[in-house]
Amino acid sequence: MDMSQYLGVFLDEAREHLQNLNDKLMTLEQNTNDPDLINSIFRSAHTLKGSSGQMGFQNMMELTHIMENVFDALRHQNITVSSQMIDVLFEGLDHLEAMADSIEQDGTDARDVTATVNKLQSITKGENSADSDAHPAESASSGAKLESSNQSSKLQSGVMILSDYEKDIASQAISQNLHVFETVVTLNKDCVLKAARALMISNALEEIGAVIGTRPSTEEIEKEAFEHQLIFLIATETSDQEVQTKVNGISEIEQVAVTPITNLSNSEVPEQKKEPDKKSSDKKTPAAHQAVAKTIRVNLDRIDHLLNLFEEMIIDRSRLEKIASTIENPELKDTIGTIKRVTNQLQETILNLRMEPIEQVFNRFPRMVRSLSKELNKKVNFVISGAETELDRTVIEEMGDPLMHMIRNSMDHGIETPEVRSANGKNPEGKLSLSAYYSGNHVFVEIKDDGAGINREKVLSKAIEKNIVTAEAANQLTDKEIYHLLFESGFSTADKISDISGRGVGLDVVESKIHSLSGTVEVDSAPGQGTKFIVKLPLTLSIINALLVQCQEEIYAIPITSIIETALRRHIDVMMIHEREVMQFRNQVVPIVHLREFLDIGIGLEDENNDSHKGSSVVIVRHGDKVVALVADKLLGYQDIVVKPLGNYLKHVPGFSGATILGDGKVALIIDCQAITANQQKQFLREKA
Amino acid sequence: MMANQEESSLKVILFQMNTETYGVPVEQVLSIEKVDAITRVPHAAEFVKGVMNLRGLIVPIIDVRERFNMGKTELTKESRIIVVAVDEMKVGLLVDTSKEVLDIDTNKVEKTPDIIGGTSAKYINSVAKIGDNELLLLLNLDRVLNQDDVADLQKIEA
Repeated sequence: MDMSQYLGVFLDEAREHLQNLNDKLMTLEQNTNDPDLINSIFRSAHTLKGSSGQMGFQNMMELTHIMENVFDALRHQNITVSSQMIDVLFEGLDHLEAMADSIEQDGTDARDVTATVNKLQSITKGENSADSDAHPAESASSGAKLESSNQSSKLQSGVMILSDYEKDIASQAISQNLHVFETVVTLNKDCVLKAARALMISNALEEIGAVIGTRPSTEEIEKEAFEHQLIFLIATETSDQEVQTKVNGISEIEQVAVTPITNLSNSEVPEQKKEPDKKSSDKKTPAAHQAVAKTIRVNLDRIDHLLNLFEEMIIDRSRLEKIASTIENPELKDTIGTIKRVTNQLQETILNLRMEPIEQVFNRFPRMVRSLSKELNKKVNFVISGAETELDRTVIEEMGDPLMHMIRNSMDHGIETPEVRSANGKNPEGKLSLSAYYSGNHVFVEIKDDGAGINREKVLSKAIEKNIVTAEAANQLTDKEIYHLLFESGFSTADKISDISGRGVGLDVVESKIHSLSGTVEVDSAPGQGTKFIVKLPLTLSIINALLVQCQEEIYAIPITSIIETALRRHIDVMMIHEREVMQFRNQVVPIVHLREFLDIGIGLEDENNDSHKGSSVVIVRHGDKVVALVADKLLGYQDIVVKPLGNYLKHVPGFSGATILGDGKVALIIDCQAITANQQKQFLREKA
Repeated sequence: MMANQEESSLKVILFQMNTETYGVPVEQVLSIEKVDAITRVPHAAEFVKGVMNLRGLIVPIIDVRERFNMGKTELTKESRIIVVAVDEMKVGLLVDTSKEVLDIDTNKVEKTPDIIGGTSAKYINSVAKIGDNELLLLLNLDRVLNQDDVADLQKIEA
């Protein structure tokens, strides 16, 4: 059978399971004795084993199986959780993740995992050698079994041995996220029409799900060839409680017991029975029972295609608007107004399709922090918040590395060793928090530690030593500007070089990556109290609102997120400092950049014709905390524009972050305010020196 | 006979520059376009004429003649843009005119003889004899589009 069409789904699901296992193992280390947790880990591993086997990935299946053995031993309390065991399990997960990657790339899961397998096996063997220890646990669980069979005393065949056919159906149902329940119904002893009751139960169950099998068989039930007990295996969307209520609604029933089935191999079914999930029927604990919004998986290409089509429509919309402005036709204007409203909603919806919770990136950090803290001998309490914050998926994909760098940096340079912390009267356990939240059209991600903070003097002397700033210029820098020097390339204040936060490559790469996503990064720090990195990211990159400006005959777009204010040139007072034009803006001296100059358009023209001076406008833009005033001939107004990349060929060309297509089909370049402000800053520093 | 011919023939798009005939293998050509509005890109290399909207795609346009240091191409009615794709990169080549597609016998393709000198020589892969006395110069697009030398120049300027 050709499985290729299921490969994508399989990989998605496999990765979900792996992530789930990752998360749960982290929790398990803290919370070593939670049977629900262990069960959930076991189920995830088991499903993964099943699906990889089905897809024919033998290595993946075998490794998962061996890991599953460990979980199984844990479940039976034959072995106990240790930090070392978690390490080995994580190692196994890493191999599985690598297998998933190589399946995606080369279609094979071949990988040498012998070392890990041996370690896993010796963990599981811990159970065999310590057989006597395991015994009490064994009897405890069989005690539970006894209790459960007392509860329904007539449950002679409490466990259904499933036929292959039933197993098949049940596993399909589970893979479709349905629940499979074994429903044991005991009829009143004095019930007369047992077959009729059975039929009513069967019908009732069919209303909420599908009956996969019965014990005894349907024929036998019809012949009333049973005592007082019936077992129905059903697949349903509803919870076990609802099944219970539904069946209890029928009269002449003495007892109903509903047990969820998640493991389908025969040997494991009895174990399900050993631990009658009393909790799950009493409380609403297991996550699987939560009401979840219905979702479908859609190939990303389709969504991208949808977005492309929509982008073309936006371009045509601006074209229509342009045409309508030349034809004075109220009806046409009305229609375009409607189209505009609808497309705005459509835009929001389509962009939302591409939004994903930042959780995906955040998820991989707890483990990283765990292993780093071991490596560095530091104690860290890592707290994540706002993981549900959604961002465009392109942004999310790109954010992993920069965030990793910053977290490593905080772990390495920020948080002190427990000894130092104690000596300074701090809690020996450091705190590192990673949080995301919305504000306006942006998403903020903060990485905050309560470590030593940035040593201002050390940064300065290093920066001067490395010729990043001159001593004179350094005196005029604010604290924030000094902290920001960390992002200059070739900067590293670490006393000793470690593998963890690199050798001065790192933070500058972080900044350029964030800039390429049209974001900014800032640092704030207080000596002895800690450091905070604040990353500001746009919600989406593909359609933005921009101000169109004209210089001579050329039209350029300035993203609205960079603009603070616009003004008429004649309303501002231009001053000269060091032969450079500046203006006063909100108590700040801001350099003036003539776009004509920046864009290499003839400047002579302006001097000849001084009148054009008066009509020109000033756009005050900001990037990070740097502000620059741009002078343009004319402002043409705001418009939603579709951002298109300039492509590889022009990637060396500075000053533009992309291009867009205007209503008349012409291309307009998008001005990269970061490039302009950075350029100004450099000149500024150079001149100060 | 046909099969034989197919095996040993190469389809190229021809364009004329000065008196010479150049060719680009048809597999590397996406389309041939008339010249539409080209938006200038400040700070780009001299031979980059700008970018053009090609059905929603932004394509940089380079003047082949200027790239070869042979002067500027004047825009006329006949001017064409040959859109080529090399390594995921799509670039439009501005040429005087382009009309023909030609099958050339690979046996007639030879290495660039040393006598062809000048700047353009390194952008030529091989030559082929067509017609009686005409030579076809086959472009090495990787080199034409390679900007390492250009990037170096810009670095020096900066």
